[in-house]
Amino acid sequence: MDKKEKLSPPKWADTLLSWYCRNDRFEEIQGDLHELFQERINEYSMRKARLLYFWDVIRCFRSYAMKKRIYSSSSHIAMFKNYFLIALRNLLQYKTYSVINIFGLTLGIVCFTYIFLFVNHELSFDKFHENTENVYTVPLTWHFGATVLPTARATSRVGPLLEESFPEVTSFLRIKNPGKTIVKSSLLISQEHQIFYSDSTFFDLFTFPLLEGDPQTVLREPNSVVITSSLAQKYFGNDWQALSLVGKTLNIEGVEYEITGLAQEPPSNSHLQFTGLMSFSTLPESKGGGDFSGSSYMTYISTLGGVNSLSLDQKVDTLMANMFEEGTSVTLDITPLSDIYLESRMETGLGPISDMKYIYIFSLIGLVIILIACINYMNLSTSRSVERAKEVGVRKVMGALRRQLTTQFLSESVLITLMALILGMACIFLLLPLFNQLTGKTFTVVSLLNSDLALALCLIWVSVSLLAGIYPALVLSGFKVNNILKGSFKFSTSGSWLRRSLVIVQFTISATLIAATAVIYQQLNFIQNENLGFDQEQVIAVPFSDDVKKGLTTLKSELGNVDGVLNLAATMQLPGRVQFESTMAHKEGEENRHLMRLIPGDVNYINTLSLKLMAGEDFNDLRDKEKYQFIINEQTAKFFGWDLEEALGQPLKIWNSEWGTIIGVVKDFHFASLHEEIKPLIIFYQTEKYFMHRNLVIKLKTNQLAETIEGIEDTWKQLYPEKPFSYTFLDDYYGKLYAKEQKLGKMFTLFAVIAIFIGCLGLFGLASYTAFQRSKEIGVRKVLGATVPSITFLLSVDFTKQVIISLLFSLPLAYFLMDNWLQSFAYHVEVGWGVMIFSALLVLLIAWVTVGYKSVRAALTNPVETLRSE
Amino acid sequence: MKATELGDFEELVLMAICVIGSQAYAVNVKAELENRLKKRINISAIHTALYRLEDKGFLKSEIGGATKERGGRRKRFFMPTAAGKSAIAKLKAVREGMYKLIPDISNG
Repeated sequence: MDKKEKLSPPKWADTLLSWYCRNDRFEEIQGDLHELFQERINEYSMRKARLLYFWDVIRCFRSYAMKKRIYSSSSHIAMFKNYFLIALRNLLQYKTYSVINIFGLTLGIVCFTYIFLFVNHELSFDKFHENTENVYTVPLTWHFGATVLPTARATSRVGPLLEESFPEVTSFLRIKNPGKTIVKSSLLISQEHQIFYSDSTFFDLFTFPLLEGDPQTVLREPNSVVITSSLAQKYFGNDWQALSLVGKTLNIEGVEYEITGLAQEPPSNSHLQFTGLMSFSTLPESKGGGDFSGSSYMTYISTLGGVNSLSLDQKVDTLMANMFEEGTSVTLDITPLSDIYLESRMETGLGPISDMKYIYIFSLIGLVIILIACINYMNLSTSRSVERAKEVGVRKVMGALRRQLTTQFLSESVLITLMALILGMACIFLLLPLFNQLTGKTFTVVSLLNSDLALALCLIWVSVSLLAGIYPALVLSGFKVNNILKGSFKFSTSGSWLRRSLVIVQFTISATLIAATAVIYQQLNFIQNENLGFDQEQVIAVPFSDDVKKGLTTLKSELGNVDGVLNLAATMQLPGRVQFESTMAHKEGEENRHLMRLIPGDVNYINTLSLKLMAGEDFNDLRDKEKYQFIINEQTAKFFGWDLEEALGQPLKIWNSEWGTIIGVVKDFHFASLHEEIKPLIIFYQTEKYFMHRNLVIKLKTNQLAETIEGIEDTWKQLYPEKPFSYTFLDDYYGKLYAKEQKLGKMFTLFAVIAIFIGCLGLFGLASYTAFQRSKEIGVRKVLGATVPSITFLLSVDFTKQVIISLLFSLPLAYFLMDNWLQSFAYHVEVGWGVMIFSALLVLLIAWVTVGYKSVRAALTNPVETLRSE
Repeated sequence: MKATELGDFEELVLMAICVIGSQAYAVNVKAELENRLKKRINISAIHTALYRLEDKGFLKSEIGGATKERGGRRKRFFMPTAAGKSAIAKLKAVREGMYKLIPDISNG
C-alpha cells in the first residue's frame, strides 16, 4: 500500500488536472500522463519523475484540454451585447435618472481623482533621493527648566559632533538660510530668498542632478556657488547656456562668488527648494567647530545602511545630556528625511512644509464623496426596480440563472461608471488650472499621463462599479418569478429601510461638511476682525539689507520728510512672526533666567504701530546711549510680579550681559499669530544701534497712499540706486499668516458644496420617483378635496424626516471635529448653537427645495392626467 | 491558413500514426517521433496535434478497452481517415516532384 502510493504521481497535480481538464478527455489524457510517469520511474529518480509529471500537467493546460464554459463563447458575447443594448435603452428611456447617476458619479470621480493626485504628490515628498532611507535630520529641542522649545534646526556644532562621536554616522550636512540676499550680475540686481549656505556633502546626501560641475567638489572651496538653471536665466539672460557660466562670478551680498556648478531645478516634491547654494566654508562658523548658541542650521546626517534610528536616537540623547550647564539641556530627534515634509510640523525655512493631518482629512473627504455618488446609484436603481422587474421575470422564465442576472446588472453599472469615468477624465484635464490654483501645485496635463493615474482610474472604475452595482444587482436578480408575473409585485418595501439609511448617511456627511465649513469661516472671520492690539492698516514694511543699515539714520530722516509719511521705525521681523524665541532675560538680584520673546525696536516704534502705552513712554534718543531701553508688555510685568508703574525704571538683563532699564509698559498685543497665546515680550532699543534691524515699518496718511509710496521709492532710489526697493502692506502680510487656514476653508467650501449637490441629485431622483409612483394616489386625493400644500407636505414629510435624523448625527459629529480643530488656535470662537442651527437650516432648506420642486409639481398635476388611463 | 491544410508537425504526427498502425495513441506516437527526430517532444504538443487533426478530419479515433499499465484508464486510439491518407500522399508527390528539379542535390 505504502509502496504503491509512492509509485504514483503527486495527488495535487492530479487534482489540478481534474480541475481544468474537460470531462470527456480527462481519462485519456490522465492515462497518457500516468503512462509516461511509469516509464520515467525506471529512468529517473522518483522525485524527478514526480516533478516531470507536474510539469506535464502544467503543459497540458491548453485549449484542447480545457473545460468549456456552460454557454459557448459565441452566445456569451451575444448575451453581453444584449445586456449592453438593454442598458443603453434603459439609459435613454429614463433620461433623468441616467443624467443624475452619470453626473453624480462624474463629480465624485473628478473629486476623488484630484484628491488622489494631491495626496499622491504630498506623499511622494523627498522619496526621490537615492539615499532617502539613510538620511535623517536632527532637529534640536531646547529645555530651559520646564520650558521646552522645539526647533526644526540645530546649532552648527551638532553635525560635526555626531560625525565624530558615532561611527555609524558617515557624514553630515548643514544648511543655513541667510534670509533675503541681494544678487548682482552685469544684467540685474535683485533679491533672492532661496540661496542657502550648504556644506560640501550636499550632493552626496541628496540626489539633485547637476548640469555642470563635479558633485563632490562644487561646494568645497570658500566663495563657491552652485546655481539652478532658473537663477542662471534670471541673471544671465535667456542664452545663459551659451555662456559657459562655470568659472564666472556672481555678486551675492557684495561678495564675489565663483560659479562652480549648475544644478537642475529641485523637483516640486522636495522639502528643500533652492535656487542657489553657497559653500558653507565661506562662513566664519565653519572654521571653528562651531558652538551651541543659536540654532539656525538645518542639519542632516547620513548613516550606514541598516542603522536603527531609535537606538541612535538614544545614544545621541546620552551624549547630549552632559553638554550644558545646570538647568539647560537639549535633545535631538533623529527624523527620517521623508518625514520632514509631513510629520515634523516644524518650519524648516528651506521650502514648503505640510501636515499629515490634512492628508488624512482630504483622503477621507475623497472617499466620502465617491461614496455619496455610489449611494445615489444604489438608491435610484433599487427604487426603480419595479420597472425592471418584468424584464427580470421574463429572463428568469427563459432560463436565466441568478448569476447571469447579477452579471447583467453589474455590467450596467460598469457601463455607467465607464461613461462617468470618460466624462470625468475630460473634466479633470479641463479643470486642471483651477485645481492648481486651489492647491498651489503645478500639475500639467503631461505630468498626469503616468501609470499612477491610469492605475488609480482603473481601480476607481472597478471599485465604483462593484460598490454601486453589487447591491442593486443582488436585489434585482433575487426577485421571485411568480411574484413578478402574477402582478402582485409593486414596490420593494424590503429595501426601503436600507434606502432610507443610505439617504441618512449621505446627508450626515453633507451636513457635517457644511457645518465644518461654517465654523472654519467663522474662525477666519474672527481672525480678521480680532483686535490685534496694533494698527496694521496703512502701514507698509520696507525690507533693507546690511549695506543700507549703515546709513539707516540718514534714510530714516529722508523718508520722514516724504509727504504723507506719518511715522516710521526700524525693526527686525514684522509683528505676526515670532521674534527671537530663545532669549534669556532676568531681573536684578535674581539668578534664574527666563525665556522671553524679544523685538528690536526703534524711536517711534510704539507710535508707528499705534500700540497702547499703559505706563511710561516711547523710545527716544535722549537717554544714556550706552544702555538698552526696554518696553515690556503686560505679560512680562505680570511675570516678574510688577505693577505697571512699579515696572518703570527696573533694570533688566537680556542675553548674558546687557543691562538696561524699563521705560514703558505696553498693552498686550498679538505679536505672534493667533495660534498662540500672548507671551511675555520685551522690546529693546539702544540709541542708533541697528545691528538686528531688517525692516522699516512706515505709517502712511490715509488719503494719498499711491503718491506717498512713490515718494518713498524716489527717495530710496536717490540714496541707494543699486538696491532694489520693495514693500508689503502689513495687513496683507498678516493675512498671509493664515494662508493655510484660508486654503482649508476654500477646499472645505468646495467639497461641502459638491457633497450636498451630489446628495441632492439623489434626493431629487428619489423624490421624483416617489411622486411618479404615487401619482394615482395624489390624483384620488385631489379629487377628494386635498389641497396643494397638504399634498406637497405629504410627499416631503418622509424625506424631511430622513434629513432631520441625519442632522441629529451630523451636528454632534461636526461639533466634536471642529472643536478639536479650533484647539489649534489659542484665540478662537466657540462652536456655538448659532452656527449649528444655521447649518441645519441650510441643509433642510436645500433638501426642501430639492424635494419640494417635484412635490409641488406632482401636487399641481390635474388629477385627470393621472386617473384617466387605467 | 485554411483549416484543412496540414502543418509541419501535424504531418509528422499523421505519418507516425500510419507507421504505427492500428494501436496508435498519444504515448507511442510520442515515442515514435522522439525516436526518429532524436529530440524530446512534450506530450501536450502531441495531444494538440492529434485533436486538431481529428477536428480537421484527417484522423478518426475510438476509445479502447480498459488497460492494465495505466491504472485501468482507457486509451484513445487514432487512425487515419481517407482524407488523411490522401493528404500525405499528395504532400509526398509535391515534395518528390520538386526534389527532382533541384540540380545535384546529392553533391550539394
